[in-house]
Amino acid sequence: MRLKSTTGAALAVAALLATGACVSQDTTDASSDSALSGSGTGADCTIDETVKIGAVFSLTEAAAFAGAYQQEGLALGFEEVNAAGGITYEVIQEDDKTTVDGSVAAFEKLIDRDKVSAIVGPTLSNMAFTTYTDAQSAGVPALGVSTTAEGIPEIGDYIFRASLPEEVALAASIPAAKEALGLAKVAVLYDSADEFTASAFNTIKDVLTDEGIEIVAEETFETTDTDFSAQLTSVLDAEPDAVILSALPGATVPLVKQARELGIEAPIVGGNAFNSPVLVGALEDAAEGLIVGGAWSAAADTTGNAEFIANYTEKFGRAPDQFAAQAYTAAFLIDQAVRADCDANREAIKDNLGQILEFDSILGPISIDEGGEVTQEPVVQIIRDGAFTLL
Amino acid sequence: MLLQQLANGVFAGSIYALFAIGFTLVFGVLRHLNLAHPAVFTAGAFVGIEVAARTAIPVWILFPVVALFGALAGVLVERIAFRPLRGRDDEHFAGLISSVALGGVVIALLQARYGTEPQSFSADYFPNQLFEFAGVRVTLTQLVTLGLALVLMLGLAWLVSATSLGRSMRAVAENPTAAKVLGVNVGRVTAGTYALSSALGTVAGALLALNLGQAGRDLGASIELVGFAVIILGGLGSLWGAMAAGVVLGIAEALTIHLFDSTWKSMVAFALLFAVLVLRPRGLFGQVKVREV
Repeated sequence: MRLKSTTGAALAVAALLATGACVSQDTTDASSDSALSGSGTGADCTIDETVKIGAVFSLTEAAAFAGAYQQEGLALGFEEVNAAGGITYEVIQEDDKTTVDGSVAAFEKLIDRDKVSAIVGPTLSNMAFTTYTDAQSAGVPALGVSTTAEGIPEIGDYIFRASLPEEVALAASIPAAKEALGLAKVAVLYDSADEFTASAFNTIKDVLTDEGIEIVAEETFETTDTDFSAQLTSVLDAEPDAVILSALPGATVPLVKQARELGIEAPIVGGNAFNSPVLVGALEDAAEGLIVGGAWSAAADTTGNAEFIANYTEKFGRAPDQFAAQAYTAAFLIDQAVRADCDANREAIKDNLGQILEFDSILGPISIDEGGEVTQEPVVQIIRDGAFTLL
Repeated sequence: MLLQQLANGVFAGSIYALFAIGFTLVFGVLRHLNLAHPAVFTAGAFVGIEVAARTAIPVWILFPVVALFGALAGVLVERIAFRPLRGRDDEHFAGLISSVALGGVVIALLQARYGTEPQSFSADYFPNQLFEFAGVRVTLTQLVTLGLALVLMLGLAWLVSATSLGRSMRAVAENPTAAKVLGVNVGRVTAGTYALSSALGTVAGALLALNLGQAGRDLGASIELVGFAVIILGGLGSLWGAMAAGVVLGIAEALTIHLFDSTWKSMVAFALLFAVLVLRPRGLFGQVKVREV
């Protein structure tokens, strides 16, 4: 299985390198397009030509739960940026159908045919590993809004992300939970069949050691499992003060529900997968007392957050989640990078995205360094009376 | 704690067994491998959730409704995937492929109707309660699952051994041509077998969804492999074998997680399967094959 996917990836990379050569020839005229550089600076910047931004999200199949929110968040973000005047952005939306080849095709179309200035997406990290080599060799800046895996910004100098890594989210929620609840011993449950949750487990262990918290039970499960009673029995028996959970959204709902049914009353601490109103809706009462680390909170008092939630809910008829908030923020980050030199060419956006310092967003002050990595304060929340509350 | 893990294994195993007896019934009587069974199982879960949400009927009426839907689905599966192929030389192999295809169609239809996100039972539809017997904790849904599985399995065993439909089924299983000559309506027995099999499959799906609180499109795929292992372990076509093997595999999995790690779960389950195949090729309860000459 592992061998197969690596070979597949290698073949895809080889194919991309082949196309990459002609792609970069095309881009020389795009990157020297003088119509894309305007006059004035910062808020007064005016660019006559419409700036095309590509967006690749998983709108159908497995990751559609995230992609749909991202599409809406990004659309709302650019709508507000356009309303500020001076520059007009046009978002060209593509669906990668939660497949690697769909994602590659979408990136190639946006780079070669639409000649976009920058690309936001894709939704999943395992697609980003393939598509970002394409963007890198073509010289198109790409900004990930949910690609949290290790090693993504390292793909190249055109690759950026505004998505908080799972490790950072968990590393913040554990000390916060310790302080609020006085944890001395915990049980850890994680998905051992998934690369990201398994790597998050190593972080959890380090953080717990640093905090001097004892692990009294360590249980694993696999992504496709449906019955967790055997693991939860061991957890129950160990009588932990809290349960730390690293799981994908799919397993989270049945796992938390079964834990509560079997009589595990201890608070459950988790990462990004918990940060969705859909989860609260599906779990109802069982969601009470969940502690969630993430990049954004509906309860946070950050700049423009209340307006964002109100506008989003009015426009799309449902409350936004973290995916929507991060995609919304991406619109402002790209606008910030364009306005810095009043230049919407690929090269200028690349240079300026890596210079964003303490930008005041709904996620709080956010910075992106030259290496493409994001720095922001994670938020820690607890679910009380069916709503996310800051811990 | 060990007792608790044994109980967990029995509850998980009863779902495996329910899934497996529906599948093995069709094979035992008709020698068809109906690979649309996992998709029908998933459909049962979704239908159960939708009926519960729309009508709020109590749980003991919900399952007969789901079973009725399953019976209809079973008749359709036979009409669409198997009957057109009857009498062909490659009847069995072609049926296997066409049932895989039909399973894909069913999953696509489910996606068209319910979307890609998992559907959930409302938390107050069947409020769960926790009981404790001699230090073993069980939930009400687990008890309902075990009870319903037992009733259905014993009911099926009675139906096959003591009713006229059961006699006809056994006659067809023995020799379809001879059964036809003796006046058994083979078409009706075939449809009846599929209806029973799919009714059991959909009820198992709805039960699993009730246990989990939700169902996604991959519900059937998640149980498929274990379900097939149960069938082989018990002896292909043997009802009692499927029931026993379901519980054996459930307990083996629970104990593996308890003693080692969940990563070893599948390995232990399939090692058990291979061991049985080597030591007792016909499975735990399978009969020695004398017909295949």
